[in-house]
Amino acid sequence: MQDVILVAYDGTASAEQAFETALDLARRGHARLHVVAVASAVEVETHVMHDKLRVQCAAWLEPLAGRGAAAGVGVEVEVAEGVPPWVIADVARRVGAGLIVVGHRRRSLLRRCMEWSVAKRVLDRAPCPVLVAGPDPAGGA
Amino acid sequence: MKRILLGYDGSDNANHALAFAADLAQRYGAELHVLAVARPPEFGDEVETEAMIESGRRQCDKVLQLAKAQLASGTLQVTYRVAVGHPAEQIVRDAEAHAIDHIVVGHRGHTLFERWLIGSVARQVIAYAPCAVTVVR
Repeated sequence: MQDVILVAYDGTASAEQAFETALDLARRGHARLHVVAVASAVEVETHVMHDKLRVQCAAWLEPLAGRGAAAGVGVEVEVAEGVPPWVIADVARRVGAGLIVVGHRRRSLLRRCMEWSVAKRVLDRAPCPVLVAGPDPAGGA
Repeated sequence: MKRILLGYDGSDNANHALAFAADLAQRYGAELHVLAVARPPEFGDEVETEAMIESGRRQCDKVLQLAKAQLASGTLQVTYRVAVGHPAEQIVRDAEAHAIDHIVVGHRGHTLFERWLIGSVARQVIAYAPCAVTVVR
């Protein structure tokens, strides 16, 4: 089905759900995972702020390769910079992803109206199918 | 993953979604449920409405024949259903009713206007689905 599955990861419970889903798919499909964390600052950025974000992203990604290895799945990680939906779609093109997996945060109606979710904006730009991981069975996210 | 639901309308993207869903079902040894949704007319007197729903159902049966033809060669366990109503609402409702754990739908929007108009089914399914959703394009 797909050789490379791209996962967008930001350390939240919904991203965790996305990673688990992708890992399971990769294991069954003999695919590799490419996990990207996007360092993006909404506010005007300073270099210090920026470096801090990159470090944060790298910290999120650090344990993932080991978890992949434990499941017998090759995991590559990457910290990217920019506006998440655009960056995710660009990375998907670059690595030739056959599937993008993203998490989905359940939010209040008001917040949903105020900001389109990253999941939906990825959908508009993605070059391939997009899997929006379900709500956490434990009821979190 | 035990039960996969495919929202199917016979379009090109729905056929891509069908291939994706069939592949997924194969890998997971999951059941595949294929749902076609007939939209009722917005208004009209009762007799007319009933006739239109009836013709909508027949149309959906034809659409499902296309899916059946494509899945005939496989070994998958497939169930076909027709529902009447708003597509996103019926897909989510069906997923809840049949304990679906993964929904697959196509995405038809290419231009900005189409995205706004038609991509909305996929968006609404994502917003209200009780499970994971894959949008195939």
